[in-house]
Amino acid sequence: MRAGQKKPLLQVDIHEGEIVAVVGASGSGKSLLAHAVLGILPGNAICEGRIIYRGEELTEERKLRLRGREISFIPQSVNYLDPLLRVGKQVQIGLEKSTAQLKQRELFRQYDLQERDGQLFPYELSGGMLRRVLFATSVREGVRLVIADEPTPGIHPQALAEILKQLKTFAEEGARVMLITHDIMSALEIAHRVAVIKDGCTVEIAEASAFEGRGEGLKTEYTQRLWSALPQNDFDGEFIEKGAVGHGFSGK
Amino acid sequence: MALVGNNLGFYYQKDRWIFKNISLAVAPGEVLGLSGYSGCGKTTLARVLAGYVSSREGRVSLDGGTWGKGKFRPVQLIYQHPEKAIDPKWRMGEVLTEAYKPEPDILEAFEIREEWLKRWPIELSGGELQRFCIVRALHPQTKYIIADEMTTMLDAITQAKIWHSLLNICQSRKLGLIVVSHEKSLLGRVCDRMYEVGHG
Repeated sequence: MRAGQKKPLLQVDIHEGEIVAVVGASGSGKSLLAHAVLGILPGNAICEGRIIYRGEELTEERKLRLRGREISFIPQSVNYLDPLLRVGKQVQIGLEKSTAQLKQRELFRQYDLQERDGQLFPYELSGGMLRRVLFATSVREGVRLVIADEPTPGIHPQALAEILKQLKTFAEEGARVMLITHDIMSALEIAHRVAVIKDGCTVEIAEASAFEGRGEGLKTEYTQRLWSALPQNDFDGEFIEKGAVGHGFSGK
Repeated sequence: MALVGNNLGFYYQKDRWIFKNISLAVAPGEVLGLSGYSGCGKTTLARVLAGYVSSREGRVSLDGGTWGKGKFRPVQLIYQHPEKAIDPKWRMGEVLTEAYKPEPDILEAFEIREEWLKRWPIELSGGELQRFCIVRALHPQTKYIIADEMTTMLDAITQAKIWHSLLNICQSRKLGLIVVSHEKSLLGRVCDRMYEVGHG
């Protein structure tokens, strides 16, 4: 897949029941990848390459038919919520009409939102609450592909655990899950493999188990740097002048 | 000399207090971390401290006084959602230079590329937009910065670099910094002191 004018090689595959985390530099094209699969790139975008979904090419018509149904999307930007519609109503969209309200309340409880929060407009909710509302809009029967674009920032640990649990449930029920994130530590709790993207190219697709210790199991230098720059690891390694970066992995 | 919140309380709907009795202070050159439950009022507290909304109770004082209307605000807020803090109909160059013209070295410190200045906000990623928001807040007259989940949209390497640059600038200019985040490990790395909002 190619996006924009660059000619990079971006390649990711996700199997049934698998969770693949997509991590990498800010601006490397992670969200564009998600938008390309969904067919919601801006009008001036040029997209080349092939997207195969369940053995068949994912054409624009097919995307239109499947998205919001068996292909579920959790967007990164809270701009995707309707600013003029109460959030409870937004979560009810796409649910079975007769039980929509009941189901929505259940989802709110599940993601640690109050029942009365459903009456609020998006601007009245905190960033972390909006994330959870966005996430609740994705939980539907019969979902086969879930694309979650940074579903976790700004969320406290308990709600975060609930979201990770749901993504895992999706996979256990046979869906494919693409988890785009910067939160590598959370992703590793549930992901089977991790695709690392930089400047629109796939740098490496690693087993989740390779992310441990000082990253000796990781193949590329970029992935090792990404791993060691985490606050949990050697954060400061990137601080030291260029010449010393190579030694940054030695830890503190 | 400090940014002080005294006994702050706030609600949107009457008697549904988001927070109450919050007192905190940050001195020039100091880094204070704010953590707490999602929905406990961290962002609202940040908006109160930055003067975007007035508290229902208590008061905010800046270096012993308050700030006048129509003047530059010495307390600058970096929002959690950069895409909502930037006018979609302005090119990035205009967004950047609205209040002052940043020097090339500061653009470099935050890895802002020349070519981005001609683009529309929609043509940049969340992490790229956020870097403009940071530089924009570092006006020469800025005294305090409030960073609300500033780097959640950045990869670990860029996150580490951005924090390094910002901490350096805050130290050399003696700016007070308030860091709002859920990432305990990040707060542990950058903050001198912590304040827990709410106790839920």
